[in-house]
Amino acid sequence: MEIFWAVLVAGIANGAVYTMAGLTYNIMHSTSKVLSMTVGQLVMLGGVGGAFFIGVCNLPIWLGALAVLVLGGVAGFITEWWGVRRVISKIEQHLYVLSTLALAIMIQEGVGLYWGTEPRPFPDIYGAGWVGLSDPKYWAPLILAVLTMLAIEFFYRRTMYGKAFLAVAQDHFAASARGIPVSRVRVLSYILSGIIGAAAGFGAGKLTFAYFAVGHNFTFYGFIALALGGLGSNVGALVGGIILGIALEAANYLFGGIYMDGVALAILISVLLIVPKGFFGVEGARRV
Amino acid sequence: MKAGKGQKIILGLIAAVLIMTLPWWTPNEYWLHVATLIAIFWIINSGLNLVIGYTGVLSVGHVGFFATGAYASAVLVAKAGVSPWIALLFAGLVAGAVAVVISLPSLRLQLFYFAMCTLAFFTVVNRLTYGLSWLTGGGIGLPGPAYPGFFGTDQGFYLLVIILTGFFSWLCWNISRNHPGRALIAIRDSQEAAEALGIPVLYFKVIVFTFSGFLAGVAGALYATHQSYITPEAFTFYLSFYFFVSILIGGRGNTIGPFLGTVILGILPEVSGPLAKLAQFFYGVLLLVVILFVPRGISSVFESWRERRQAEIRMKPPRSEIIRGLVQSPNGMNSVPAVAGIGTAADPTTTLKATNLLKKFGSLVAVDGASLAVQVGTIHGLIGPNGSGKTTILNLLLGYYRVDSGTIHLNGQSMNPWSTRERVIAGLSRTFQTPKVLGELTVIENVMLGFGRQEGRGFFESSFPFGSVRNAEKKMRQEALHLLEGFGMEHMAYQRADTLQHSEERFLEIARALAQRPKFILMDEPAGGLSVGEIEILGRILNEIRKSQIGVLLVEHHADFVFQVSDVVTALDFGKVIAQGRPEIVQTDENVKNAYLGT
Repeated sequence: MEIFWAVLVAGIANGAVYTMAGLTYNIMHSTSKVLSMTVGQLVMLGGVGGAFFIGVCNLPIWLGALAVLVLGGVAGFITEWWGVRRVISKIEQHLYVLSTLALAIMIQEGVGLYWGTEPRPFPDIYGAGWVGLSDPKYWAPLILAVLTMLAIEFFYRRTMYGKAFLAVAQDHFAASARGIPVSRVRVLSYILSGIIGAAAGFGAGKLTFAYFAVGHNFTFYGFIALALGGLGSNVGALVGGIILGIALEAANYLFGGIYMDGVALAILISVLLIVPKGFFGVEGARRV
Repeated sequence: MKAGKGQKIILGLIAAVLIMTLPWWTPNEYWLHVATLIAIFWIINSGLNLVIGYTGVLSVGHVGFFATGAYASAVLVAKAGVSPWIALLFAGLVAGAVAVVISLPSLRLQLFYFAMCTLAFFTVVNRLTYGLSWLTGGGIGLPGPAYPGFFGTDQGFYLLVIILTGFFSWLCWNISRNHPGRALIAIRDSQEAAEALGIPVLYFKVIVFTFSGFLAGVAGALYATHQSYITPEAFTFYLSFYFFVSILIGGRGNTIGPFLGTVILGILPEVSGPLAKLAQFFYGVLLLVVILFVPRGISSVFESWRERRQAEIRMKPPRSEIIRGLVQSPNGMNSVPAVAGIGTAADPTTTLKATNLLKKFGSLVAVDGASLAVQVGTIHGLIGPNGSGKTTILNLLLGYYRVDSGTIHLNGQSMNPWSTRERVIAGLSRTFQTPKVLGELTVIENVMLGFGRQEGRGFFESSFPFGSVRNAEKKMRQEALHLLEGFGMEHMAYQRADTLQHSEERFLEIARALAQRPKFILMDEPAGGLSVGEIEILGRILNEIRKSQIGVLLVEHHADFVFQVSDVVTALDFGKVIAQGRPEIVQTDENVKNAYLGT
């Protein structure tokens, strides 16, 4: 029974991080129709950045957290600037897959060159002395994910800017005809998603450690969370992320870590086959 | 011309001899080692080039198949004692089989989904090679298979690799320059056009990906021998990166560019030793620079230069050309399509019939119970104001959309459950509101694609261009040229289609649709953007098509033109038929006048 709870709690904790990665995808996709390969790297930056600002620079925790969010925002801005803006204005729009992949590689390898290629410990932001499953490192990601989701919903429904986001998401031609600054909305959405990604990495730092190569996992798992829940749905990202997290943790316990990615790929392929729109999909898998 | 060809052959032979004898004149073993390695990489890239450069499918995890092949052969030889030759074949088959499993579900969807699946596949392979240590030796690795006798020496192995490389790239080259290559480009540049041409899109995507998986597996097996010992570290994601970056840099839709990319990027790390630490970061930068500044690769720079030159050649006004072509074609005025053997012996009773079609998009009823019937040998005009459902009906007839209710019959047989491709095979073809000609193919290749469904040879058959394949290609080329003569476009046959003017694109699209030898052509606003003189030419062409016993459904805005050329006219408003019958009757119908003039 203890093992059951351990698997469940760890699964929910990891799943919450996948949810955050899924939200990051969603926000970028809503304004630009781009699925960015840099999502996981934003999460990685949150973890490494936290260890750097708090562990190495010895900043207080609140200031370190703030610095991490700024770092994420900058990385999101760069993603839009180099990886998206020029590409989606061209005929070969689908090349965003490669431009964002190139950026992801540059971020990952850049961090690897500077920070080193070994995992380093993440500072004790929740204080020391926690034992067992009550350790906030398991619960912080979930709380963070739910709060973020609620904040996004509030932003979309209750603020003028959020409504502008929705307008651009629905039809950016119509939005620009109504005088909404579409490019600025897109830039802001990328900064916002960068902040969310970095916050996820920061919150989960105790689980992932400060490791330069961890981003690829979140790019992949965050996307599966979204495919499960449905592209464009934030609730779907939450549900999909948690389901995926528990499933992978169970696979890890039952079969061993080496099969986790295999199980993840099998889940992704089955979802694409059986429910291509995901459980809460608002936008179907587009033809062509 | 002949001499030029002879010179090319001699140069090719010299190059081949130099390459084959490399082991005996190269200054040191090291370069022989590098040359072998690059040749192995070209095996995988010649297949991957068909996937990325021709089909436009982004596989970013191809190293997964490469590793699968390497481990399959090494395990078979080291653990099961199988002969390395059989293991080589098996490596390809295993990787090909895995490629089917990966690609079948994911190739239906957006590019990103597919890229993600291939990336994930690589991760899975990577984890398993570490984790299944009883099989793969884990981090310690496995010895690569060694070939017996002469092929076990460095020189012999080099020769083996070169022969296989030459053979496989010859296969890929044949596929790319025959019908399958054109079909792949059609899939890449316009999936709608590919469907309208009856190209089995998913089948082609899966088959080309599987073939590239096979080649990657074979290359992997050779790599295992070349490295003499393999560990998971040999198959990093950056190897994959090298594969597709060298193709992207080389440029899409050709073989030379990616080949040069493979060679140059393959040699680069060998000569930049001290910078190796930065190599992976550098790959990222390189990819970004290519995407942002030369997204179509280096070869596109030369192409655009050639295009400009071609565009200057074509300054003749096309209109008189078409008229001349019509008048002067051997059998007189009414023979344009017939000379190419189109529409002959068509059954005059054949009918395309739509009954009570209903199509809703959300709460919008686009087509509301419309019925119409098109006979072969007649022109059926379909008019109506903007948004009255004309194009939707056309899309319903061809299966681009599914009807919510109502039936579509061809000659009494229900087509409702049929896919677009099945309807095309049954004799439907179409043109698009915005012409979807394939700009990176030449004019004649566009028309050959039309003939291709019936006469083009399959994927694997085309890889050996002997006998029937060569004849089929030759026949299609002649027929296409003849058809272009009818349209007065034969002098533009070998220029790229994206150098054409709008009106020429329209006529080319009609020629391509005719080349499918359809029973019915559905035309979506063919007069759009044409000048008065060009509309007149269009009228004549339509007349020729009618005489060839083909049925035309003419969706058009230009009411005067429709009333002038049609045998029957259907007028739509808000998805409903408001008038139907002979043009002079519909023309004077009160409802039609109201719909158009709003009185």
